[in-house]
Amino acid sequence: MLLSRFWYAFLAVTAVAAAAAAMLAQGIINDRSDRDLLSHLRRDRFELEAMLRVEARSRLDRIAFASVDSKLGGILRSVKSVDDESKLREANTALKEVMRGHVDQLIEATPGPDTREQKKARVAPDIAFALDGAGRIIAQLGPMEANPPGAGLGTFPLMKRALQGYVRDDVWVYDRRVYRMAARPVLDGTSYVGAIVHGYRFDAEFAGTLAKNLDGASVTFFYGNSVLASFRPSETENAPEEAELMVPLESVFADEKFTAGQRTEPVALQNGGRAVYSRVTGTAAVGNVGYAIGRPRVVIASPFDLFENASEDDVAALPKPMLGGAAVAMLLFGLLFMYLERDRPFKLLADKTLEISKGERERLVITEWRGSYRKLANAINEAIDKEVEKASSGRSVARKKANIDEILGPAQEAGGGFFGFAKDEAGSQPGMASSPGLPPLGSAPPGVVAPVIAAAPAAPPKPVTPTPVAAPPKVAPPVARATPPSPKAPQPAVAIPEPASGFDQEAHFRAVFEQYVASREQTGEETASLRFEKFVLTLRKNRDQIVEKHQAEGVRFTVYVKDGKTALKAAPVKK
Amino acid sequence: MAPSMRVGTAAVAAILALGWAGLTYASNVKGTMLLGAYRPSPDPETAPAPCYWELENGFKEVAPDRVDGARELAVVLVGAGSAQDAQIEVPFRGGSLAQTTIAVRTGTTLRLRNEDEIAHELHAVGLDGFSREATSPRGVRSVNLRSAGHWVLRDNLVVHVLGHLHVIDDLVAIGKVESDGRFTFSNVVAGAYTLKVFHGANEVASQAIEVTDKKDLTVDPITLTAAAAK
Repeated sequence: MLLSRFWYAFLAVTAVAAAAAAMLAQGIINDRSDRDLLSHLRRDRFELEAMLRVEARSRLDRIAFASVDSKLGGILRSVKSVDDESKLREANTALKEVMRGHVDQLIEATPGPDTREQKKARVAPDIAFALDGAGRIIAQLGPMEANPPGAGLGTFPLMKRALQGYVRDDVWVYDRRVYRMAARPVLDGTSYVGAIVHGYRFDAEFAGTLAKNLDGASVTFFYGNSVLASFRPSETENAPEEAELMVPLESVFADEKFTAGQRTEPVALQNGGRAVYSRVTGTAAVGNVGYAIGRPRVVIASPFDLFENASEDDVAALPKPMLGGAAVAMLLFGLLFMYLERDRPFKLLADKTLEISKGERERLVITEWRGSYRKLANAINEAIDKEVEKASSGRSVARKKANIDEILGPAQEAGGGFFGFAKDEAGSQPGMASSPGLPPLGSAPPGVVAPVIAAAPAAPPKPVTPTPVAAPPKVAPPVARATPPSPKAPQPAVAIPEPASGFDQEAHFRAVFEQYVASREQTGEETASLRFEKFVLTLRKNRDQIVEKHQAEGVRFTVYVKDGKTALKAAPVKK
Repeated sequence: MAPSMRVGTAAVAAILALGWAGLTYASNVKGTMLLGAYRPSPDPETAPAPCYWELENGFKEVAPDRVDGARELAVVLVGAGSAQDAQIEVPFRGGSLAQTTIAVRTGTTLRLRNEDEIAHELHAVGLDGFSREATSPRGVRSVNLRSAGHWVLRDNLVVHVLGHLHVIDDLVAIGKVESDGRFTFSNVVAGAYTLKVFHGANEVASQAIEVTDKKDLTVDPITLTAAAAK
């Protein structure tokens, strides 16, 4: 079962390694996803600023024609240093008409298939001022256009610079509303006579226009803790909500980077998304007017999500033949090892056991199996022995030791053992299928030490698989041939000389054979049917089994007489 | 009371009043600050207003930056004596304080009058009693200044508004400043004073003057330098 165990260990290590790889991949992917998210947000802010810059320029360009409008310039020049309220009101009325005309011109000049109302919604300012050279509001359009002229805007940085002659943009908080402003100086001839200013509020359409170009980001403009405008892309799953983006504002307002007009580090949102915050570019930034850009955080919650998140390209890129081949190879290896270590020995055991049940075999040769099967085979043999003992109660059980394994098995650890050749009724060697004609098996009584016939070892021992020794097709029941106990003591046999160095195995077997024949003649046993060729086969098998089983250097065969019968005894010679 | 007694009492009062007036005759002090060469140091409280675009218009040369004396400078006399005014008024005009540098004596009441069409919510950063409080259009707000020191003024509604408030214990008189740098103190009691000029958070000029009885004083032109900033 060694191979199977190694295979199970290999499979276990492989499975654990695969699980660890999946977990590591999950962590790595999430880490990379987070880094990509942060990179995305940084790029979003950069792109949003670029869009705001372009949009500011377009607003400045939109009022370029008004700054050189002679009618506008003339009216503004006429009110220079005028404090008379009636004259200012007259100028106010006239300027409003001029400014509305400018708005109409803007709408007419707007390209595109939109309706006039749609164009008006896009380009008409939410607030507009015409200022004289001192920064006084002479006329205005928007929520406070009914106010009388005379209030001033000259201290606003935007207006101060416009009255100096600069074209400039800004973001204002004016009357608690936030506007994107653009201003130009108004010239009348070669003199600065005032300034024209347009302002646009932050609305959902503006936020949406910007956010759609950010591909999946949520954008919210805020003034303190109030939302000015917001857009959340519906096509982006788990895109941060407006309320989510507003939650961290208190800590954002205390952020040094934010107050310095820079982008904050990404902030974790309630639902796992991330957002960056920045002030707008303009004087309103001091009043915490800014924007948030948020994106959802996409994470793989478990390694199994790897499959769900894999794209079709990922799946297509898999080396499917290799993976399939590896799976099949692993399966085949497993089946092979199961066959080699379980199915085959089990089948063999079952077959051999079946042979026993059919009477074709007397016992199992336990060296044919290893491990648990060997124990099982041994247990079967012991069970057979017990049944034999029961069947032959009162008789000698010595002859049941049917083969050399049984004789020299674990019980013979002290070394040495007996085996013999019983003659069957036909005069062949019934105990050895391969050795017909040999005498029946027998065993020496314990304690009998016969003269030793030394057999030269079949040195060196061969590392071969156990050779089935006791697998003759026909084994006569040994009990039936057991010799009744004899009152006579065993007779010593003639010793076979110890082989010298350069041992001739065949000569040794022949010597044993001759001694065996001689002993049988002395005991009056039949010898005519004995053939050396068959005899030596049995010796070789027994020698090989003993050498392998005991890792012996050789086997000593001894011929002896017991109860008037000639028998052989074999003993391993330890290295 | 008999008519004769009334006349007598009135005569005594008139004599005393005339005598007091003769003893405390006040002079005028005037002078000029040279703004042309003055290059103020940047105000650390206000970074340049950010914007995406600030371009010259392409038709006419732009006007140079200049210091508006009336709005940005405060000229005061410091010394022994009492203050001329228990309260002063500063309007909101043009979207901001008409005077962005304000110098007053401790205990003075500052009246803020809103001439703009939008509300203001001025406060002195770190000064108790001068917290955020809305001043609606045409409205007036009064603040009594009890602690000496310098505070930055901010407007919560009109965020570009930035002012500096100097509250001085021994301030005697506040000069009226014109945009071009001329200034005048009226009715200054004779005595030795220090003339100080503030621009934003900084004291940009300081010089001793001696005011004598019955004689107006014209101070030599004052050069303002950022190096004189405290």
